[in-house]
This record gives sequence, C-alpha cells and structure tokens, in this order.
Amino acid sequence: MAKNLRLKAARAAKDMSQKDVAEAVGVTRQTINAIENGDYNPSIKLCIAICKVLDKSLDQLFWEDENATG
Amino acid sequence: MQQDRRGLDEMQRAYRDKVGNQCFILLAYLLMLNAGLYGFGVRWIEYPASVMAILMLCLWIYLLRIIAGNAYFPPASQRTKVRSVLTVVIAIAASIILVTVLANTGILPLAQGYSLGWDSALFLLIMSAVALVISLAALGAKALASRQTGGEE
Repeated sequence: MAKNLRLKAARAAKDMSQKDVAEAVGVTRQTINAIENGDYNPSIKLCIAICKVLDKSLDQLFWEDENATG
Repeated sequence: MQQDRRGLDEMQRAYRDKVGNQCFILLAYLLMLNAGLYGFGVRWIEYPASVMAILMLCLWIYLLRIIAGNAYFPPASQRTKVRSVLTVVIAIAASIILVTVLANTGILPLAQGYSLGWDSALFLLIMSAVALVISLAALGAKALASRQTGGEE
C-alpha cells in the first residue's frame, strides 16, 4: 500500500503531531503512523474521525486517484 | 467522532486477532507433536506438565508479541508509566528465575533436608509465578490508566 502523504501534509498544515492526532481521534500514535506509512488500512469510521480532526474531506485525504502518486 | 477510549483501537484489535490465530495454530501443532513424541516413547517432561508447559509457552509468545506490537494496553493508557511497570515486572521475573537457578546449582544454601530439582511441579511453579506477576502488574497499570483517564475527562 502506498504512503498517505496527503494525511501527513494535512497534519503538518494544522501543526499537529502524530500524537496530537492520535489523542484527538482516540487511537495510538502507532496507528496514525501505520496509516501514514501505508502499513494499515483504516476503517471508514476512523477515516471520518481523522478527517474531522484535520478539517478535510474523505476525498482530500483518502481517495486514491489513478494519476496521483501519493 | 472518537474511538472507544476504554478499549483497544482497531489496529490493536486486528493485531491481537492475527497473533491469537497464529498462537492457536502453534499450540495445536505443538500438542500434536507432543502426543506423537509420547507415542514414540519420548518423554521430555511427564504428561500433565508437558501439556501445561506447551500451553504456557504459547501464552507467553502471545503476550510478548502483543506487548511488542503495542497491542497490550489501550490508547488511553499510553501516557502512563508503562515502561516503568514493565521494567519492574521483568526485574521480578528475572529474580525468580535467577534464585531458582542459583538454588538448583547449590550456590544458594537451602534448608536442610530440602532438595530442589527440575521436576514438573517446580517447572510449573516458576511459570505460574512469573505469569502471575505479569498479570498483576498489567492489571495495576490498567487501573492506574483508567484512574488518570477518569480524572482528565
């Protein structure tokens, strides 16, 4: 699975660390790290929670465009 | 929308399921291997203890893997002094093993008329004692974590 660089960028734009996002969402920091690295495929519930914390839509963070690399 | 703070998060649950399945298969294979060896007359430990030892081995592998994979404590307890608790547990477990080995080799003096050997009862005693210490420490850490979480919310 490819790395989710958009999630990383959105998190950096809000000046939040992985730990901050993890605490806001209610998961471990390792889970956020695994999602960013493409090691874990999150459920739709977790995706929505992350989107709300980062003020983004599901499309913006998790939709994999055929032409997109990240 | 927040995840359930009282329990494990979804990745931790998935990892536990995966490790649990693997340990169950390992347990089944080891029990069959033990039964096969027993049929050929190989008795590495007497019958009830051998099954218990295999059970404990699989339990230990399961516990160590989920602890190493960060799937033992739920997210709410990540801020607690988990490392300190685990350090104490490891120190106590190591002490038990060290004392037993020293007593068995005759370095530590034993009470007169008492002999210590690697028999089934002693083997199970050591395994159980260490497992008990780990369980109690884990329970203590969890209680501490839930108290802290309750105070923050």
